[in-house]
Amino acid sequence: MSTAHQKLERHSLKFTIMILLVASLGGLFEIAPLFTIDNTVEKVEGMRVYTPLELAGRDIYVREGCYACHSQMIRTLKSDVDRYGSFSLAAESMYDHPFQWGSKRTGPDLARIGGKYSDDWHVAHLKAPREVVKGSVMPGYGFLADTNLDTDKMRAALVAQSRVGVPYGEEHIENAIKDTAAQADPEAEFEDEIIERYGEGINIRDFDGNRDRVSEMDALVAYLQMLGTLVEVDALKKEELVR
Amino acid sequence: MTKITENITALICSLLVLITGAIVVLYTSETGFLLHGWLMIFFSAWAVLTVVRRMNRPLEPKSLEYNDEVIKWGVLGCLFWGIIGFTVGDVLAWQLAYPDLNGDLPWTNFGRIRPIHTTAVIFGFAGNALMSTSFYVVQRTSRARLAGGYLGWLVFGGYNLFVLLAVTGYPLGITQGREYAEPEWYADILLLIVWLGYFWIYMRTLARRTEPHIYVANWYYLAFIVVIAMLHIVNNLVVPFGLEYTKSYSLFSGVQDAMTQWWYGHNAAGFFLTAGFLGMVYYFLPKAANRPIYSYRMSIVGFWGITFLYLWVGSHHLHYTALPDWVQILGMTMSVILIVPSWASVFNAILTLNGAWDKVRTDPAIRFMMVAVLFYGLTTFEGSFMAIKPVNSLSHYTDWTIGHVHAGALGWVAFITFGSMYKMVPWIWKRDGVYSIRLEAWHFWLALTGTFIYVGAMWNSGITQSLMWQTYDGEGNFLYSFMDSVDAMHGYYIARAIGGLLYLIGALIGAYNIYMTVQGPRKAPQQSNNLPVAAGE
Amino acid sequence: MIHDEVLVFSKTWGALYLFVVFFAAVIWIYWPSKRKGYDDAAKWPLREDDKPCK
Repeated sequence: MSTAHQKLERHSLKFTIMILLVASLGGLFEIAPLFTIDNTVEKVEGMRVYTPLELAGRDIYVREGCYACHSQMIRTLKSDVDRYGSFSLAAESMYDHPFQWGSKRTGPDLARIGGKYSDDWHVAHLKAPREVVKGSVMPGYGFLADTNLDTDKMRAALVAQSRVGVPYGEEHIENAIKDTAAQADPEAEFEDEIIERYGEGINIRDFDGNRDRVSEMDALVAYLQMLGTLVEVDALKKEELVR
Repeated sequence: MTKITENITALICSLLVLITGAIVVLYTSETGFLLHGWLMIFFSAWAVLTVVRRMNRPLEPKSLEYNDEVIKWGVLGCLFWGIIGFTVGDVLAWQLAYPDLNGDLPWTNFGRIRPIHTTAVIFGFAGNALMSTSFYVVQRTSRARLAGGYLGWLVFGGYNLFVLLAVTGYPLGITQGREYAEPEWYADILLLIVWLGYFWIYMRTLARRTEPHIYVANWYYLAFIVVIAMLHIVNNLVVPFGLEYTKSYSLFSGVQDAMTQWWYGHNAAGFFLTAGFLGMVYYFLPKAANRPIYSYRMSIVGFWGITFLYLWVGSHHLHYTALPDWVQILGMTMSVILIVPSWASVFNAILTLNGAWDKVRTDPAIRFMMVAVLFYGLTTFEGSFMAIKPVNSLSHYTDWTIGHVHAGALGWVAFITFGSMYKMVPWIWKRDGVYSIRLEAWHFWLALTGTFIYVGAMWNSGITQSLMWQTYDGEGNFLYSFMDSVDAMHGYYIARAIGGLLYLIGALIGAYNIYMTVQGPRKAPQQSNNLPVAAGE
Repeated sequence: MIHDEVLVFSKTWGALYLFVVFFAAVIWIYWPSKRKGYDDAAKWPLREDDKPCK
C-alpha cells in the first residue's frame, strides 16, 4: 500500500472523528449534566422500590406495549392536572427501568390510575374493555387471567434490577419468588414479612378474583393499583418542586 | 484482503453466529428465545454452506467491475420489508377504527404488533434502502470497487437477520419497551457487530477513492453510519436477567432514561431518516436530472448544521414533563434553529432541478424525488413549529404527532427511496429503463393521494383531540370526557386506514414494476457507451 | 446556584462561541480559492462511469 493511499485513508478517518466530535456536543452538554446535577430528581418522601409482584406487572405492561397508547406523565399544564391529578415528579419514576412516560394518548394517562377504580373494574375492563367503557378502542387482555405468572423469574429480575442501581438488598432477592406469590394471596402467612421488606401501605390481596392461581392479571392489576400512589403529592409544598 | 482471508473471515463470522444460536437453543427455556436460536442456526448454516461451496471454486482474477450483486439483494430486502411494514401499519390503522380486529390474542393485539410496523419500515425498508444505495453511491463517487468482498454479504445478511429477530420477537412479547429501540439485548449486539462491518466497508471503499475530495453524498451517509452507531450503543445500555433470558432492564431510569431515549429517538429521525436520505438526494437527484447540485457549498454548510444541531433537540419530546426546564428550553431553541440547514437542503435540491423541469413532468422518478424534497421541507417546518412549547402543549400526545411522522416517513423517506430505486434498479440490472412508466405514474399518484389523506386525517384528529381535552365549560369543568374524544376519532381513523391502503396498493404496484424490470431484457451491450449520462451507465 | 451561572455563561459566551464557529465554517467553505475543487466535485455524479478505476 502506497503512502499516498494511507494519507487518503487517514483523511476519511479524520473526517469521521470530526463528525463524532460535532455530533457528541449535544449529548455532552445537554444530557450528561442530567446525571450529575442534584436537583434533576427532587428528594421526596414515600418513594419505595416495586414489590416483586408489582415489578412483574410492570414487565407485563412493557411486554404488551401499553406505552404505545398510554402515557405515564402528567404535564404541568392545567388541563393535564385537572384531568389526571397532580403533575408527575421526576422522583416518581426514579426506579423505572425503562421509563414508561409514553408519547401518545390514544387512551388516558395512567400516571395516577392507582386506587381510582376497584380491582374488579380493572379485571373486567382488561378482559373486555367495551363492556365496561362503551366506545373504547382498547384490545382485550383476557388471556392474562388464564396465564400463570412466571414467579420463578422474579429472582433473576430483582438481581438485574439491583445491578442497574435499584436498592434491592440480599433479603429482597432471597425472598423474591415467595413474595411474588404471597402478595396476591391474602391467606399466605408472610404478610408481615412483605410489609417489613417493602413498607406500609402495600396492597396485599387477590387482585384478579381467582384464588386458584397467581395469574399475570394479578401482577398487572397490582401494578396499576399502586401507580402514582407512593408520594403524597398534594402535601408537598409547591416551592420545593420548582426546578 | 486476499480472497482466502476473506473466505476465512466470512466463515469464522458465520460460525460464531451458528455457535451462539446453538448455545441459545441448548440453554434457554423461553419459547421466543428458542425460536431465535433456531433462526440464528438456520441463517448462519446457510451462510457457512455458501462460503464452503464457493471456496471449492477456482480463484478468479479480481474483476475490475463495481460490486452490484449485494446491492440487488438490498433492493429486494427494501421492498420485502416495505410491503410487510406498510401492511402491518394498515392493519393497525383498521384496528384503531374497529377494535374487534385486535382478536384479543397476545400476538395479534395492537401493542405487540405496533413495533413490527415501525421496525419493518424504519430498519427493514429504510435501512435496506440506505445500505444498498450507499454501496452504490460510494462506489460510483469514489470510482472504486466495494471493499471487503464477502463482508458486504455478511453485513447485508446479518442486518436482515437482526430485523427478522426483532419483528418475530414482538408478537411473542420480546421487547425492551423503548420506542424505535424495541429489539432486545442480543439482537442489539448483532446489530452493533454488523454496523461495525458496514462502517469498515465504507471507510475502506472511501480509502480506495481516486480523488482527494470525498463527494458530499458520502458525508451524509457516513454521518448516518457513525451517529447511529453512537446512538445505538448509548440507548441500548441494558442489563439482561441472564444469558438464558431475553428480558433486560435499561441501565438508566426515569428522567435520565427518558432524555437518553428521546435523544436516540429524535436522532434516529435525524440521522437514519434524514441524513442518509439527504445523501440519496445529493446523488440520485443530480444524476437523474443530469444537472450538478445547485450549490455544492450550501450542501456542506447544511451538513455541518444538521450534524451539530440535531443532537440537541430530543428534549422537545418532553415539554412540560418532569425534565428540568432548562433542557426543554434548550431543545426548543435548537429545534427552531434547525429549520435553517433543513431548508437550505430543500432549496438546494429544488434549485438543482432548475433547467430540468420538463423531466418532472415526463419522468415519475424525478417527480417522486421532487415531492420527497417538498415533503421534507414541510415536515422540517412542522417539526420546528411543534417543538415550540405552547404549540407542543396542543400537539403532544395527539394524532398530530402521528401525522407529522408520517408526512416524513411516507412523503419524504419513502418517496425519495422509490424515486431512487426506479433509477438505480435499471442501472444495476443493466436494463434500458423501468418496465412501465405508466405503472410508475400510478404508483406516484396513489402514494401521493394516500399520503395526503393520511396526513390530513391525522392533523384534523390531532387538533380535535387536543382541543377536546382542553375545553372547559363556564364553571371550570371539562366539557368533554376522555371517551368523547375517542368517539370523535372514529371517522378520522377510517380515513387514515384508507389513505394507508392506497399507499400500500401503490407500493405493491411499484414492487411489481421493479420485479418486471428485473425480469425484462438486458440492455443491448453496444448501446451502453452511446447513451446519455442521465439514462444510465 | 451553579446552574444559574452556567445558564448565564451559555447565553452570552456560549452563544457568541457558536456564532464565531458558524461564521468561521462558512468562510472556510466559501473561501474563493476552494471554488474550483467544489465545482468539480459537483459534477461527479454526472460523469459516465461504467467501471471503477481500482
